Amino acid sequence: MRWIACAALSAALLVVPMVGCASKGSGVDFSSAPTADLTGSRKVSVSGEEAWEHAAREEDRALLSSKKPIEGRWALLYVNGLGCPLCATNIDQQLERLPGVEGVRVDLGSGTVQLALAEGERRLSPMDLREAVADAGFTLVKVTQK
Amino acid sequence: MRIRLIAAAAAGCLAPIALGQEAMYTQAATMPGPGSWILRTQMHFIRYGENPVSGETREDVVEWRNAVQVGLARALSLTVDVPAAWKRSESPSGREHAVGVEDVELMLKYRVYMDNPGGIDTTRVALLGGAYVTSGDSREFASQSVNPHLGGVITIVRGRHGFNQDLLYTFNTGGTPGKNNGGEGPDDALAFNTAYVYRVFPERYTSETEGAWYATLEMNGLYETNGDTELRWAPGFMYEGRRFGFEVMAQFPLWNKLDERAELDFAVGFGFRFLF
Repeated sequence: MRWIACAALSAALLVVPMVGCASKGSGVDFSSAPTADLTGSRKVSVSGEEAWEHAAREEDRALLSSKKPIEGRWALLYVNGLGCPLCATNIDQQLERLPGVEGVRVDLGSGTVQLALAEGERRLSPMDLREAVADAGFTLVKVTQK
Repeated sequence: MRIRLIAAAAAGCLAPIALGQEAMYTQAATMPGPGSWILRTQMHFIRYGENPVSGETREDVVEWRNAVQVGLARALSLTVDVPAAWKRSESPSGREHAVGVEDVELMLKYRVYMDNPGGIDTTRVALLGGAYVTSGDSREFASQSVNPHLGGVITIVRGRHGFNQDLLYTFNTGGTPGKNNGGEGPDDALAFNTAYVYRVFPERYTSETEGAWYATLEMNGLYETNGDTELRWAPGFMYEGRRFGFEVMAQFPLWNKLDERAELDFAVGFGFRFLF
């Protein structure tokens, strides 16, 4: 009897997570979203693997402390520490919970995150984004908007 | 018993554990963000040899663990791990079977240091604190006590290479001689686990990357204050997707000096993890 209960629970544990795994950004068309401009970033080789290490200029750092709302439809975040796909979802989730975020797309290759921002809602500031990225356990180095 | 099973099941269901870069038997200094949670469900088959205290010649254990890790704050998470087990023991007097719920683990993980120096590189250190709390089941499964534990873990990821080292000391206040398969009392225990995680595929992340395959190699150590000491090694592999992970692992004895409990013959296990 106990093993029937265990088997039923196992099945439930495996099925339930499959439901509701769709990302908030799944309905957003990201084709006009800004893509990573990596001219300010450094390509480093770690144990044979090349990865982008984002660096911030003085004005980039100043912008991250700004509470001025982001204008435009898109924001592009340059993030350090995105070491694994499961970690990437952690950042997805923190950003998706912010008001006014319509969609999130993480690019592990360039270490960037595209954000689709809804029109007419409370506008997020770079500081809001910096805090959300830190909540997820990563470091926001730079943010650009379009 | 039914109530305890329902309680275990409920904990499992609430369990919508650990985040990325975590091997099966070693902690990692990673955690879900505030409001996010991870369910980790694992099934293990473990075979032990002769037990010098109980007189059992062999014991097989099928252990089913359900753990939930909830992000409470930016650098703080809570893990609840509920293990249910089926045991079959052989002794000169015959065979015995039993099913029950083992001690429940409650653990807080607090990240005290984080450095993200590069795109995919990170170094993190976390403190671990909590307790193994009796499930109320019989002494065959539960310690009938609350056993606090305290420790720490460091995680370093550099490119395709990941490294975890944990150290966890358990102050055992209960436990039954002869019913201890390692660290379950009555003596205090120091667990020290090392894991190396190597990303096999993809060689390089791209904008299309949705998942990654890893090979893992662990060394799992346990010292008990009665002098029993054991080292095990555990090869395995795991897959991590964006919201789902899968892991398969085996564990074998490496070295031991055991006088008061049975030594491990081997263990195999598999598990899933989901991020919500």
